[in-house]
Amino acid sequence: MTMSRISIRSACFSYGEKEVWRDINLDVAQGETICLLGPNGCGKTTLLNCIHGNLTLKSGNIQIDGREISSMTVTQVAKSIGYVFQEHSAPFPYTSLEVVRMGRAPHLGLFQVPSREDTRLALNIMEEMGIRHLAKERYTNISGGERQLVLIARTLCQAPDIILFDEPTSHLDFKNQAVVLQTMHKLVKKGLTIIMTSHFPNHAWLLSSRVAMMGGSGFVAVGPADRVMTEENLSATYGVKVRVYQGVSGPNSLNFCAPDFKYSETTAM
Amino acid sequence: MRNELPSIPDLPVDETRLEERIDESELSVGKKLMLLCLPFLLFFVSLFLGRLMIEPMIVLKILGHSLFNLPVDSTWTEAMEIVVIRVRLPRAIMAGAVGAGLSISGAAFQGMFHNPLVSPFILGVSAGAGFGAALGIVMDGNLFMIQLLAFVFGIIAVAITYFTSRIYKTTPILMLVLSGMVVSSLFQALLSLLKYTVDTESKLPAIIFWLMGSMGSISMEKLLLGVLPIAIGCIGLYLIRWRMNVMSMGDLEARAMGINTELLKGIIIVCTTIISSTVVAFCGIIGWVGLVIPHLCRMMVGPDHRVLLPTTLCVGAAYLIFIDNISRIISPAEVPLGILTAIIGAPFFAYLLRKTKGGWGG
Repeated sequence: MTMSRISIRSACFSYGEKEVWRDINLDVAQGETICLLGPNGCGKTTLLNCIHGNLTLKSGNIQIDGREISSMTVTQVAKSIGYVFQEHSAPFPYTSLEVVRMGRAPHLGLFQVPSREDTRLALNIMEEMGIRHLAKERYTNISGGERQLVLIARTLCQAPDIILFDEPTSHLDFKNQAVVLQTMHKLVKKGLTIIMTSHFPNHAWLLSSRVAMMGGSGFVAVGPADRVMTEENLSATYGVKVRVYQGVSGPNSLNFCAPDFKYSETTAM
Repeated sequence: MRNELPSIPDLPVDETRLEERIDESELSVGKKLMLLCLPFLLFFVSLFLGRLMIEPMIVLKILGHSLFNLPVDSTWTEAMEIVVIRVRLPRAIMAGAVGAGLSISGAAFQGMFHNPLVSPFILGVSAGAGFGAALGIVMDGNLFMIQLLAFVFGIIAVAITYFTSRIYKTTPILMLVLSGMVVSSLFQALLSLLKYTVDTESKLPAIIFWLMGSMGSISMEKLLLGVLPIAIGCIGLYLIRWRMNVMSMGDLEARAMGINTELLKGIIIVCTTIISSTVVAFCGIIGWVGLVIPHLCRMMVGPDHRVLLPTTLCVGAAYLIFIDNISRIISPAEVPLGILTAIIGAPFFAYLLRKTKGGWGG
């Protein structure tokens, strides 16, 4: 078995008296995609924040490459872990290039400003993601999907090898969801490790990721999407009857799921 | 250390396009020159302008004679020399420093608080310093004593604000704003108490005039004492100009990008407090400058602090030298500076808000 990059051991978290989850164990290897699924309020984002060190566990521990996350400085964390946030308000109309270039912050000293090299790196990343044309645009004037891509570019500029995504496709239309997912797929192919939260179980199949299904006060099931995302597990996780379908189109086949309305009608009403 | 992502190939980048893009966040040489010349031009104008009009050539000669010991024929009266060297010169320098200091503090705070309505006085420095000065006047202190008390109480007020806001060990922006309000109200109440109890014949007017703001107390001897702290604060803020960009994206995101937000906030608060305490100690409460100038500059050069901060220094200095000239010339009895900055600043701010449609400009 490959050495795990992130290891979470008997982690418990609570906001004051209110316990969010307990006894969570998870190992993430280099190059893996982990998709955290679960209903609202089950603590997916909380788990991301704990992995990032923004929040502190009640008990248990989280290690990155064998180092306790709570013992690392924000700069050390930022060099190995990037975080693409869901909620984002941008008060200042910086150019997209400037926003992407901000990702260089962990590599620059307190009084340093980005050099020409940093700018070149930022532009290269934008070029590769196909958003070079946005460089001069005001970040506040571009669309939500473009903004999400700029934020991913900024995170890449940090040069981490683990990236946390908090619901990367929320608020995006269908096309932009596809673009963002495809970008994430490319990142994984390059060897980056991704941990994401999602409200769309189908995205887990699409990214053929490992899935950690959360519900109640911890993980319901952990494993490859094809194996653990069964009708039973999905129904248990979300508390509604879910059906899993297998779709075939030409040479491609893909699983997908949808709530079973007929079942709900007969039981709930 | 630069550990670039190895998997990202070094794409050939068209150098000319790159240059063009880099220049996007910088000002053209012409614009830079204009911004730099503006305060110096107004500075020079303020030396010959006044109730005693002195020809520009004579001003130059006086300056050359007394500052650089140049052998120039003395064609001026002694009164002229005193007015230029001992009155107008220190005053113009201090006005420039105050304008620059308040403006850069305002810009730094607006970035830190993500709010365009923030002024350098939001953490209670003016209320604290005002109380300190009033205390000095009540205690029959000399000018130095009054200024020292104003400076010290300005810093005490901000310190109380800062440590009150740290109830969660960090300093959330909202908590800073709220405790700033609390501390301001507290010191304003204490100031009112002082005003209520003092002798209404001499001391009450002294307190009131002092609070209205004036450059009148600046002399050549005290100039360094006033300019030096302001300069130190400005340099401190300028050094962290790029990190302010990252910081302005919000605490959580800045931390995700490896910024020690508590350290950065600390630096910003210390620098702005040194600046504004010094300003209030020497010149009283001069409102609106730190609010209007950063806004205007953001409209001119955009939000990037690397360009915005130096711009606010130049424009702020020019603006306050200009206002101080008006205050000297407009009537035989000097109009308090704080009144003028408000009368001119408030409508101007309203105009800016209209132009930027309430947004950030840029």
